Amino acid sequence: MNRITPTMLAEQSFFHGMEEAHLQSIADCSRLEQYDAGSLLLHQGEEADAAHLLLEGSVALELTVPGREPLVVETLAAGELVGASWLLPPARVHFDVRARNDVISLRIATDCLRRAMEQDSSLGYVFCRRFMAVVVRRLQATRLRLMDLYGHPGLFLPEERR
Amino acid sequence: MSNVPADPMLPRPVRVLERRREMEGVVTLVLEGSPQEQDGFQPGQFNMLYAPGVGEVPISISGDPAEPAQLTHTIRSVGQVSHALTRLQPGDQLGVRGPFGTGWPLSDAAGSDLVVAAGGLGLAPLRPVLLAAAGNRSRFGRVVLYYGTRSPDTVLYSGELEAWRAAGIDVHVTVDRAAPGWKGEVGVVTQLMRAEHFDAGSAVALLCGPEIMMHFSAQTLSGLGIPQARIHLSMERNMNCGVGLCGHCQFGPRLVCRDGPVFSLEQVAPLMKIKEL
Repeated sequence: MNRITPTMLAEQSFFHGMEEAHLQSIADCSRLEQYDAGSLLLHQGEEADAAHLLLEGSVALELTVPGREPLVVETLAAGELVGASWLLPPARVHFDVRARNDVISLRIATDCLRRAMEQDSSLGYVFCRRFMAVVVRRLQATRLRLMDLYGHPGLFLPEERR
Repeated sequence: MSNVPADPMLPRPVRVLERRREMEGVVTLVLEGSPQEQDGFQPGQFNMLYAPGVGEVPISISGDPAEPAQLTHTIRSVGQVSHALTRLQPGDQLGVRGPFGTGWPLSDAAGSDLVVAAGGLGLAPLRPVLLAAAGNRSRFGRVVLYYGTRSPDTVLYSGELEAWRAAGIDVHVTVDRAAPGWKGEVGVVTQLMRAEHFDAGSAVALLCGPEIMMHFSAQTLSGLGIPQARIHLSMERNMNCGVGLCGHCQFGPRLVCRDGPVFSLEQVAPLMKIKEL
């Protein structure tokens, strides 16, 4: 695949406004990958050595439980960053990440990125802030799902008025 | 026919023509309208449905505005009255008052992109909008539907989604909890909303669902650039009379039955922050 450049990264909303030097460090750890529909980008239980920024297509986060069909926990579309387990030990992938259709992703080798972040703390800070924004957004989405967002709105009505 | 205007407090007797089971506890009734129904309704309005001997509840009109002679209502059984209504069978009689309230501002959306966001049974009051858009597709720019619901077995009007897609509506459906065989999206409805789906500079957004869902959807659409004045919500309160007399549906300085149920976010955003309302 083509070499990744800072300009290519800057087109993605996740990287908007990042300094050229930071983009170069991330580009040095990145490559484009293609996945056919149905194939796995990340495998549950394996070492978390990559994050993927989805450029085209969408993926399903699946939890595999023996004796059951895989349970789809969430789907994520182009523009989303996938893979959050790499930053902290034990750095194991928690879910299978399966392409729902043909996917093109920017695969970031996270060992490489972690080293770059440790060498340049400003890169570490900037990347972690953006990464945290993704995590917080997902956490909020998960909380909304826990709230049973679509439950009947009129349960506050007296019984005889429903 | 008499020229005397119909008394808005007097239910008209109508019969059930058709009963469709949508999902557990949810039924769509197609009613044979009285001559008054020929006057039509605006998408977004509601009727008061009277279950004889039990009581009356407000139910949004979910039918095709191009076929006003048939009244269509989708009803969830959550209390005595709605339970009685969902048990009605073809040929049974009930009472109808209405239509009441304000409709969706479809004329404001003419020529612009139309963003429809629905949660759960909130798709019912928006179905007339989607049918109107599907039937007159050139009236609008892009039409996008974001629909979120609890699980695949609670997708309302699941048999119609493909027809809406075929009519040129960009339909996105997501569920909170997937089930085996579900190939669609999984996540909250706000995750479906993307800037590239519509022109935020001119789009008009119509939201209906539980208030918490509308709150977060409005926040997301507002964040994507749609001004509060062009985000409209259908509010649900305890409507009794339907004509602004009894005050049961007071929502701050407004009465939902008369001034709503459709309001702009600009009108209701401050009120939605008040717990007591």
